[in-house]
Amino acid sequence: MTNGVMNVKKDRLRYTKNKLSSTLAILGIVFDALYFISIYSSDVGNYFYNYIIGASVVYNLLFLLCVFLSSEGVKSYKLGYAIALIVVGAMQVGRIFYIPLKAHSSMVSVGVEMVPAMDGKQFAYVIVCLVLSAVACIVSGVIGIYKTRVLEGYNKQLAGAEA
Amino acid sequence: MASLSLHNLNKIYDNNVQAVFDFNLDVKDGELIVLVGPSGCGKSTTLRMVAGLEDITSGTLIIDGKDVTQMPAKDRDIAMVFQNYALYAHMTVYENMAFSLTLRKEDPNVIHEKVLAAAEILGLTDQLNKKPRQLSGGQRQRVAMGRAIVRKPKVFLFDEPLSNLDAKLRGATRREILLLHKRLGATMLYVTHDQIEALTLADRIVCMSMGYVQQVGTPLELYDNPANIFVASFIGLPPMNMFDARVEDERLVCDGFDYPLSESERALLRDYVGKTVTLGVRPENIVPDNNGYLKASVTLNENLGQNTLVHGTVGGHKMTAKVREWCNYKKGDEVAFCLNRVHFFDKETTNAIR
Repeated sequence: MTNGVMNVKKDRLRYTKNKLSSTLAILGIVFDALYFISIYSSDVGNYFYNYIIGASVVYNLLFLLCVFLSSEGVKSYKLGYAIALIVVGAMQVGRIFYIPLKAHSSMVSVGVEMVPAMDGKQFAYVIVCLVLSAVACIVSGVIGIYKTRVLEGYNKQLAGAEA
Repeated sequence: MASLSLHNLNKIYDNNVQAVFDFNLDVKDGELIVLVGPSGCGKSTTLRMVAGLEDITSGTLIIDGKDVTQMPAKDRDIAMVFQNYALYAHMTVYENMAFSLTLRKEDPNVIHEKVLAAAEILGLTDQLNKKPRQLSGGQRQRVAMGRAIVRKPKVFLFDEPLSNLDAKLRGATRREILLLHKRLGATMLYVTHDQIEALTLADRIVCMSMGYVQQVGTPLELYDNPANIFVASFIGLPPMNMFDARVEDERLVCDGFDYPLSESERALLRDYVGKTVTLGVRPENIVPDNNGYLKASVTLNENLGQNTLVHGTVGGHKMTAKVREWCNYKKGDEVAFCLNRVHFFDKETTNAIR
């Protein structure tokens, strides 16, 4: 890529929004929603019926709010929001080890049979959703940081040239 | 850029109202044509037919040698600037200007360069990250023009683009459009009801009334040699004074004064001796003269700074004179004038007698 084309690409950042990061963050919300819709789908008794539901609902609301605000923030090349997306993305990975893994490894009695609270199929589905949500958020944050740094550098270069 | 030909264009709406009758015009490459006329005269309808926003009932529209009469608007390669700007409120200036090119899936780097070039021409470089609501009316209209420029269309169409602006901004934006035309050398079709815009902008003016073309010509031609009473009255501010006058051998007998005919005028009116014609005279051609034959009773004296509008009555007619000095006539004063340059119109056909 020639210097001229590279500079045009950098210059474009001054006038265009970081739609890629923003879209990825929204995608993170979509996969999280798919996860959350399916997580309590169960016909194996009252395994999930405790404080965990309330806590996970509250966390999920915070996640939605945080990622939505960050998607708007990264659109305008704000570094803090890009970092927040990486943190929230990492926490999505952490969520795998809380409800899904515990439910999958716990056995509950249905009649005379002992079955896992979350069967393998549902487990695989929610894991995929969480992983995709995490990847979308982290990639969004990484791209956000990269583009913000490029833009800051270019702006400094312009300011230097003007001075 | 391209030439444009309109042959026998007619527009009849579904309710059988005919808005445009046999419109004929050939626009040369790089020419700025202004369609001017009062509201409802068919000028916007004509423009919309060229744009493809109205179906052409009959006739032929040719852009750059290609018949586009039945072609959809999107394929005609024209750009239109509207009175109400039609900007996307949620997009920045940059995004508004880039939008049409983005839809065409052009290379973003090329789009960027085109937008920056257009912004430079229009003085919008510092406004590119702003939303339309943060701009003044004039700036918004410039964005609308920028959106047209980036596409490099064959023909630019302007539909009363300055009507939403205040008087001062209108003047400034009018000059910008003129400079833009000179810089781009673009073929432009411009609709307005404002004759000042028409006179200052146009290479040629098309004056319309009731769906008919009344006259096509340069601003000076329309001003100095109007084809009929309508054009004479419409072009020029204040409008031309009109007096009914009976033609006699060596003079015109008007209500309140006699106008002495020169040799050439007598020859011109040879066939009208004994008949009544309409005598037209522009306000600036009515000059105060102590020995003048037109004696008017002043009704109002308007000082405009560099000149004065003297309104009065002569015989049963109202008249306005534009005097190139500061006057202080009082209501009821008798002032004598003579007429410098007059126009004659056939009373029946309303056409100019030439």
